[in-house]
Amino acid sequence: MKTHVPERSNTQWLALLSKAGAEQSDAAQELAAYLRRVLAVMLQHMRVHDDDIEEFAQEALCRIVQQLDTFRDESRFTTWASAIAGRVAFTAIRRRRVREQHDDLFAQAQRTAHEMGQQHDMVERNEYRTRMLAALDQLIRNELTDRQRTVIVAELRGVPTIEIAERLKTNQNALYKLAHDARRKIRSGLIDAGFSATAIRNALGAEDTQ
Amino acid sequence: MTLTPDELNVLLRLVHITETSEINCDEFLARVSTYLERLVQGNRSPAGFEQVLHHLKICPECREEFEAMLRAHDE
Repeated sequence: MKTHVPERSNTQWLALLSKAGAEQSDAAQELAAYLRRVLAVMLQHMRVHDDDIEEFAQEALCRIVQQLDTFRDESRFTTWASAIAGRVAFTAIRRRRVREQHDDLFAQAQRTAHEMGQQHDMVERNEYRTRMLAALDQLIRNELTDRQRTVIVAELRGVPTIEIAERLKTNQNALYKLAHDARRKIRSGLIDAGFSATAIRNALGAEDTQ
Repeated sequence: MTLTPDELNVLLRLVHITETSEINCDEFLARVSTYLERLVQGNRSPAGFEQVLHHLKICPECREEFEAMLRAHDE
């Protein structure tokens, strides 16, 4: 499905949105209308109303105008704007999902992470793949910090990153680094435990790793 | 309480594809529009976007947003 794109060059968008007054207002309205059309398609499978799309488009417009100097001019301006609109919309929808949930998934994940950190022993198993998963479990319990463990468990349990970041009083970029550092630590631990990349790939199966 | 075998399997896959240097979600957002346009123009493996492609494998939230963008921009 092709969403109609306004016919302005990147230079025109940047110039008009940087101004004050009527010219900026006209360009902003045109961009907002485009963002509404794009969001309607992006969110067509989700439970959102027209009011939601309007709200997301307006918030995205604010962000776009604030971040004009970050546009790298490597794509069409409207494509870049639609990416921001998508980020705004999906973040809001994920926050909403957390509020509507009966169970506090983050709290549950945090409890699991804490309990894993308290229980350092695992039962020995014979089958190779199970031994690998047991080694993985052991690394999570013994090698990760409590914070790293919480992030890993929460992400695996489907807690939105915006929620995890807020509950840990951090931001999503710092959260990504926490998770990345944890994954790297686990990978090193598996290698030290004698599980090579080839062994892991074989255990996962060829289709999983493509 | 512990992680289930399915959860451990998911984590194992993520650990297996972990790179020493990765881009985060903000950096992905800054680059995804260019990547998407190259893809839509028919370039299935545009050069210089390996980290963007990798991030799509690692991050389910960015993947969800990217797939939504593809629907809106498919030509």
